[in-house]
Amino acid sequence: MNNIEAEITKPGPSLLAVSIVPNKNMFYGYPHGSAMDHPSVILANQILDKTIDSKVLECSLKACTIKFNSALSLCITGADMDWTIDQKPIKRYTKINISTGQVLSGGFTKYGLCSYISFSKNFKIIDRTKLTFTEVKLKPLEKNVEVTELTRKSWLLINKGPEWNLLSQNGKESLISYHAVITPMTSRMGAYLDGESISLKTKFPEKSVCTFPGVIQLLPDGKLIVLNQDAQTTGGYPRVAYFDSDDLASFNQYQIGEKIKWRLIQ
Amino acid sequence: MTSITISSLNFSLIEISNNKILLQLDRKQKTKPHNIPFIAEYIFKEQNKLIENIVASEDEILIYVQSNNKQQLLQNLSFVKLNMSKNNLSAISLDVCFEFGLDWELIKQVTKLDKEEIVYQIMSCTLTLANYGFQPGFFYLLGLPKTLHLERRERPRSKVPKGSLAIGGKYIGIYGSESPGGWHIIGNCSHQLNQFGKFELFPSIGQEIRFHRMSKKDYLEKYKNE
Repeated sequence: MNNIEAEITKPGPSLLAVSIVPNKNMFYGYPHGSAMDHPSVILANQILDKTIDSKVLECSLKACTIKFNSALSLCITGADMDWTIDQKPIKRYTKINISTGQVLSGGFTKYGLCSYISFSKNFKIIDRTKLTFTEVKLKPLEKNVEVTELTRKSWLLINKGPEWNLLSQNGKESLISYHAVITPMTSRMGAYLDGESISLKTKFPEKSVCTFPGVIQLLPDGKLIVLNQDAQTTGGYPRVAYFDSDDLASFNQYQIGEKIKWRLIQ
Repeated sequence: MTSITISSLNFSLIEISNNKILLQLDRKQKTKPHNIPFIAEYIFKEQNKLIENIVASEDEILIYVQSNNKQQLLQNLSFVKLNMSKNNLSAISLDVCFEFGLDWELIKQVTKLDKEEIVYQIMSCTLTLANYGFQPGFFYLLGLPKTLHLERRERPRSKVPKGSLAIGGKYIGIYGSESPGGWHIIGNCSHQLNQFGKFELFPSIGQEIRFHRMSKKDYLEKYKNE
């Protein structure tokens, strides 16, 4: 087992080690905490013959810069951040071999929000500035992986949430086909949407209920918030709708200021 | 299956996506507020091979489960019989300093009580751990007298200090870590995640929590390194 180090010379606005595996202790209030876009994580790992639940780097909005001090392979999926090796453009969704001394970098995202970097070795982030690697046994897949580059759904799909029936008739009709803008009050905890105001036919419930990534809550000001991977595990706002995991992954690839639209699965 | 009975309590069952089951206590069913988290804690500890995760609130249990384990889990749950009144665990004592409260003026105004009277009422009541949730290590404690039940703040604070003791609705809450929050802060408490360390040492649902009042000077001296 060799320890190989890489230097994260520029982490970018948000660089995290994530996987598709949730935190095991949500009972104690720990957030789900998994990657924002599971299909992109799975593809990045599969292309390198790694198990799909291996950790990857999640890089949001802007590319990180990493200088490698030893050779290995990597694969980038998700958002298009004009990734380069030594200033030369590289392709996403393909295995890239890295030599000692080479530098991975890129720019602001051109399409999507989160890029994922899988490595041919397991890794740890140390002090946000270094990566240490350990060898891992790769297991080639029996079937060829079907590689589909990130394409955000133009119409997302939502399901009726547990408190759907608390909505006013107008509220229900609005949510069936809804347009909104993702506001700057958006993070891995949740995305606050600016769209048509929605109302309930009753008072707001008092009791806290269970929440989960993808749930769409109605706030007292009539606006909606989509809970993300780092959201609280319980909350008091009514859960009027929710995204299934694929639609949540697609939603999470939209940036602040972008327009989204959804339809209700009838 | 659209309903299930667990330990004599009836729940409606809602499937969410292909990996979650939401159990909602039937509205007509009456039970103590911490009994649902108590059942969830049992499932978390005793059925952990069949589930990926679990979250509980006063009336609900949300279970993350692989679709191929769903039927086996529901079958196992239908046989569960828990003695929910039994709790032989000794009380846990936590140091608290009420001088760190940020919302005393508003609380005094709403309750029409002075600070010492409010503190006396809090120190006199029996508080039990009703649930975890919201954020890492957050305690929901029940047992507050009705005179101290308070609606949440109109605008949540963007940052509530770690260890804050706060009132929200009928609960006293303890923030296990720094986070945004909309409850009224009345002090700071020695509950911090690193005090308990391992999850096995976390207090159990239904366990009594007692407060030991400390002056600001003594509290700061005792916890100066945390």
